[in-house]
Amino acid sequence: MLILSGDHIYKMDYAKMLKFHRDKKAAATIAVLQVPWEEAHRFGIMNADVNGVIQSFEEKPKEPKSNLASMGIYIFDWKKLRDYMEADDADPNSSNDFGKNIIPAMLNSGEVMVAYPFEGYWRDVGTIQSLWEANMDLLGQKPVLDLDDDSWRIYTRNPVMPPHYVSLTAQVTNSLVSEGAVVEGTVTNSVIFSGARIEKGATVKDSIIFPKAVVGKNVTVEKAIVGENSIVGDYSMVGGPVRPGEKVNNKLTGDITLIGNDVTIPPRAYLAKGAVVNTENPHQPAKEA
Amino acid sequence: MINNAFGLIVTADRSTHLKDLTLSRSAGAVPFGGRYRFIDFTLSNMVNAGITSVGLITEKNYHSLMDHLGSGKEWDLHRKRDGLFILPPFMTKDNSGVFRGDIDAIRSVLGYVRRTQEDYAVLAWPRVVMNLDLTAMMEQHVETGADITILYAEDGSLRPEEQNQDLRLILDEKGRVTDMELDAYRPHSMNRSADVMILKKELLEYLVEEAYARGEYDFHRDILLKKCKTLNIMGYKFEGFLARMESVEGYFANSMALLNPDVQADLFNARRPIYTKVKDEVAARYSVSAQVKNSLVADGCVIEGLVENSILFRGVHVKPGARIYNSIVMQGAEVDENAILDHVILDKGVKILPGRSLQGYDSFPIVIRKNQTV
Repeated sequence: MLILSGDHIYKMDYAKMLKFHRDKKAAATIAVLQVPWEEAHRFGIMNADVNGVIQSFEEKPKEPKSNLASMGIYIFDWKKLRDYMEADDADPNSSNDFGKNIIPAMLNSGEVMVAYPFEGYWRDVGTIQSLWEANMDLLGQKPVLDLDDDSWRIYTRNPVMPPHYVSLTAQVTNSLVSEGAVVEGTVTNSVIFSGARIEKGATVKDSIIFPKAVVGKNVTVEKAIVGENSIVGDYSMVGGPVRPGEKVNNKLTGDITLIGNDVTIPPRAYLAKGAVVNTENPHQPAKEA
Repeated sequence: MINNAFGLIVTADRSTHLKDLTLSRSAGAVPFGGRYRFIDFTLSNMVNAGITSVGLITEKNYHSLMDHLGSGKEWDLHRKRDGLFILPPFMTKDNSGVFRGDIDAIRSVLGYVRRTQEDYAVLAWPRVVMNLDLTAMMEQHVETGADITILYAEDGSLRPEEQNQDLRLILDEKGRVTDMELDAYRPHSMNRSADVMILKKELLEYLVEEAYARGEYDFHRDILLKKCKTLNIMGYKFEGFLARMESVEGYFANSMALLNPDVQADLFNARRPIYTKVKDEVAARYSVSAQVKNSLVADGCVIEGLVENSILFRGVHVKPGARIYNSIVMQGAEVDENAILDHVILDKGVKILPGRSLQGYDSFPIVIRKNQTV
């Protein structure tokens, strides 16, 4: 049984991993990636011997013994996995987590578990920061992650939309633009999804504009994510410097400004760096100083 | 919505003179608008009106068309009942297999016509590209009780040297066709047929068999013109953007018209989307050196040079220093470093080598054939 996560960005041939699993006669195979030592404490770390047999596993260790991080991609012998899961389910003290419970239990019982080394691009996009970074990885002269790869196509739902239109007033550099988008403003270092609209005089920089979002006239968007179907009113500033006396709760976002899906930002709004606006938490116009 | 009509599309069409663009494909399969083929508009108009059975009459070079249409899935025409029927030309005792004109073409597929359950036929030639509300046209047809309703649009231009199936309708104040002219040197009417017609299935069968029996083969001349006075033929006016693809210059001008946002809004009306074969392409990538103005760009393009007033189809690569003005670049073409194109149509897979330069004109756009290297 192959277990995968939906919030990882990578290109991988699972058939090779399955062959590795069979060759090693393993009960479980866990795909691992070498991460920089200084980041290893953020991952589930596998300590494996020279043959790839996992000796121990530590979830987010303070002092990692290895830099082989679990990618959250597992192949299990289904019968064995089912036994361990049933036992885990029966244990009232278990938190029913793969990393915390199942894998340590299998290791403790002496099952053969091997680490499958993966080389290549892999990103967990579970955070705003990493989602933004992964999108930026698609840009550049030779992108870190090149999706334009005939040998490894990424399939998706295709929106029924005409080619995108770049008007006379537009300027687009170092960016990705998808079908149905209309660009009348300036776009740099950004990813524009299908059906999005960047109106005249608007500037979009280092940002991600999701499907059908509208960036109004003379709006400035910097280092931001604008959600699906959202509208940024004319003359707004998104991702501007935090103004004196202003408090921004940016625990989740860092310096990235986030506009959720289906949000309407009124004209002439000001959203400081790191601000989050969504339908539950609508934009509050700043009080006049 | 229409639930009692089937579509019949005549792609066996010799009236379209698109030179090299139709060398390897039938007219319906000619690429248009960055990611479409002519046939996409005709098919989408039909399915958007609720038609679920479409027969497609092919003649020769229909490989490209079949490749594009596949099972009809993109148009929701892969169905257990009805669906898309690609009707290849065939030869039997009754059918000589010779296509002298549209009557021969339609007659050769009367088997399909007879098997359909629907009462009405919507007859269309994909040489006219538009976004048509076929439901409204059908409503008028039923309300007026006309024998045949012909879609028309105003066309004030006179191009006698290019005329091909240029059918003009002379209408009375009620919209009834009182007279017709075909390829008139000085037409008496601006109302020109847009090559979509609605009529009862039985009437179509009768008209085609009757004309064939008399050795006639031209649908427009031998049926419509001759029956003009005896049948109740009505016109239905089309007001939106309409592109007639009868010459390379026309094709070029119609493509350039797509750069007008009003035309885009009309042709790609979100209420009646235009469906086409999908390719799962990546988004277009603009490099740091990209300079793009007033252009339509499809997915999968990589732009590192300058592009102005142009249409780039899927997967076109414009290399650094290349400059493309007023041109149409079809799927997978590659324009190398410092090449300059102006008023040029590059067919699929063309490669322009570094530094090459091609200059056409509005009245004479240069066409480079599929897969050629310049």
